Amino acid sequence: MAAPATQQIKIRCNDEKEFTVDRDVLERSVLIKNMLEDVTEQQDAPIPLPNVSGPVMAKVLEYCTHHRGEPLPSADTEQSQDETRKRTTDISEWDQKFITVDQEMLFEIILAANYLDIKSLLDVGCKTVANMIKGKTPEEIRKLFNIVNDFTPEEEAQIKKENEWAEDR
Amino acid sequence: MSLTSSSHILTQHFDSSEFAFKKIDEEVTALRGRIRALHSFRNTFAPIYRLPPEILTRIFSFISRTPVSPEPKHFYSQSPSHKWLVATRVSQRWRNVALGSPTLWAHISNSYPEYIIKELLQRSKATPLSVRMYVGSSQDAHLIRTTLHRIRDLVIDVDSSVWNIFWSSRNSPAPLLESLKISISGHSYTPPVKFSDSVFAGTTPRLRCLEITGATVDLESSIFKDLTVLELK
Repeated sequence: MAAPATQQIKIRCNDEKEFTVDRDVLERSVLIKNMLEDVTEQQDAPIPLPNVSGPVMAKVLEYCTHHRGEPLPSADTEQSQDETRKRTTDISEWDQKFITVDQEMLFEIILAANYLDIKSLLDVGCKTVANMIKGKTPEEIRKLFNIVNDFTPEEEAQIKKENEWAEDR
Repeated sequence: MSLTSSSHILTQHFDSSEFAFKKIDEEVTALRGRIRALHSFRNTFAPIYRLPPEILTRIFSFISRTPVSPEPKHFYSQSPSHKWLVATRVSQRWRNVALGSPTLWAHISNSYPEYIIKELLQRSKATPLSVRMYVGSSQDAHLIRTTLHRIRDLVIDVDSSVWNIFWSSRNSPAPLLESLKISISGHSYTPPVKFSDSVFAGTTPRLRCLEITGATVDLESSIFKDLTVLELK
């Protein structure tokens, strides 16, 4: 006997790109999950996602498809993880490969994960940036992200003084 | 006005070199300010500047969660790394985001100098504190007593010689305390720890985890009624 058909949902990105996706994949996004729960009747019109472009959504859907079926973090688990500080910057092998993208795409994925409310993807993105920063000097970080020093010499002296105690730790 | 043209004006109109110094220094300061403003403006085009403050804070907090050492010598020294502070030295925006995020500053250890602890207490505003420290002096015990009302997570190794001073803080309420891990070390005699109903002024509504190492404990107290974790070693 054939398995029951999964409900398919259509979404439209800000560049008019449309995707038709299994509902359980899309429900990795708390934003979309809530939208779907609010709609009682079946709608044919695609769900508009004005803050996400097609290429970024394609990456987000790749992530959601890979992680479909996994339990969503509840507010409680999120809080408890936070409190015990058990969250490290470790990233699973698949996630690491998935997030190996250029900086533009990395930040767009983070922004999309934040907008769509996909906590686990947001964390993968933030951990990746954290790992890029770790162990580097301010100058190396600036170079990495194409930032320039905009402190006044007085501010720099103050900051250096503040941080002296932390440097050996 | 360019520096060359202003120099020309200065040479033309002012004989006093002191006045010329003053005017030129003022112009240099203004130019530096203009350069800094341009640098800040340039930074706004960097892709990472698209990330809003709350995401930057999340990134910084991931760096701060990396323990100082994977296997610390003492359990209380497993305080979070302050290597993340490097982020406060990158640009004005990053620094302002960090200073505006009290949770990033809420991890206190007495391995930091006193002025830094004061700064951390100030920058963390009203955020519940996570305190990990070795209590080896009356000053350390005083720090615990004065901040107890703000502490959520307390991990301490108390030297038995200052136990009595430390334990006097049991009369202060601990309304936010959720986890308390005490280890008593040293060679001085410590009497059995009595958790009477008045401990922490009877105010530990959130306490769920209690670990005590190196002490005899009197279990006749209502402080134990809501615990989900109790370890006595």
